Amino acid sequence: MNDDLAAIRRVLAGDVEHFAVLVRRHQGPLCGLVRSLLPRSADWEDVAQDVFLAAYANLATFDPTRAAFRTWLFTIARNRCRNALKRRRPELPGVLPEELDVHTPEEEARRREWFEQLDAALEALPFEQRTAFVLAEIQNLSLEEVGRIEGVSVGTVKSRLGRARQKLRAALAPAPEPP
Amino acid sequence: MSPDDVFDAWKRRRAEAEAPPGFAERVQDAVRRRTPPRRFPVLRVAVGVAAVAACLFRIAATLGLFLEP
Repeated sequence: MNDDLAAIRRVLAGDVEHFAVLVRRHQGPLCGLVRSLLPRSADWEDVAQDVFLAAYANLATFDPTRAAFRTWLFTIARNRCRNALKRRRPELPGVLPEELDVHTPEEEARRREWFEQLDAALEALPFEQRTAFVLAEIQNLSLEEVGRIEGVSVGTVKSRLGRARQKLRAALAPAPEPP
Repeated sequence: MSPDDVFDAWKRRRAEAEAPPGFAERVQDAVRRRTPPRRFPVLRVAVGVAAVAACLFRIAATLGLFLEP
């Protein structure tokens, strides 16, 4: 947090190159967030880059007394993703990194199938529920931070999160046996 | 693998998603092509204040025509 503030001050003082420090520090979580909010997106990297450029252009308006830099950045990301989804075209499936766990081929195939089911279920969630789930469960933000980003109360975040979890877990439920 | 394990593994995989190679450099290149952010909108505030002052002066001058003895 303090490191972010020091970097922001340097950028605002004219040291443009120091913005790279902020990008390197936050690029992983930000790309993960954008990738999760833009399902199967082929151009999520453009949106992620656009988020950083918007942050740079509006850096003077960042108020550290209101939110952490990461929360502010994620708010921009959330809004940019929402706009991108509005003008979304059919896109190629996104690719996520593979885990390096060792499984038998059968386990691996089954796991892959489950992951695909979860990816599809995440994509099918309404935007508000998806954002709440990704921010709280994948990015590990507090409910207060999620509420700040979404502009809603903690109670509303909890409710969206509960519904999102329910739908995602339902994606893992075994299909009923045919009669 | 239980459904809970699958669910946690899936969340972990999503959380571990990384930026593509060279991403920070591409952002920084785009940043360099942009004008540096203004620390404070000093010029904009100064222009606004000057405009308000000019407006008040004109109003006072116009009112002065009618208020002269």
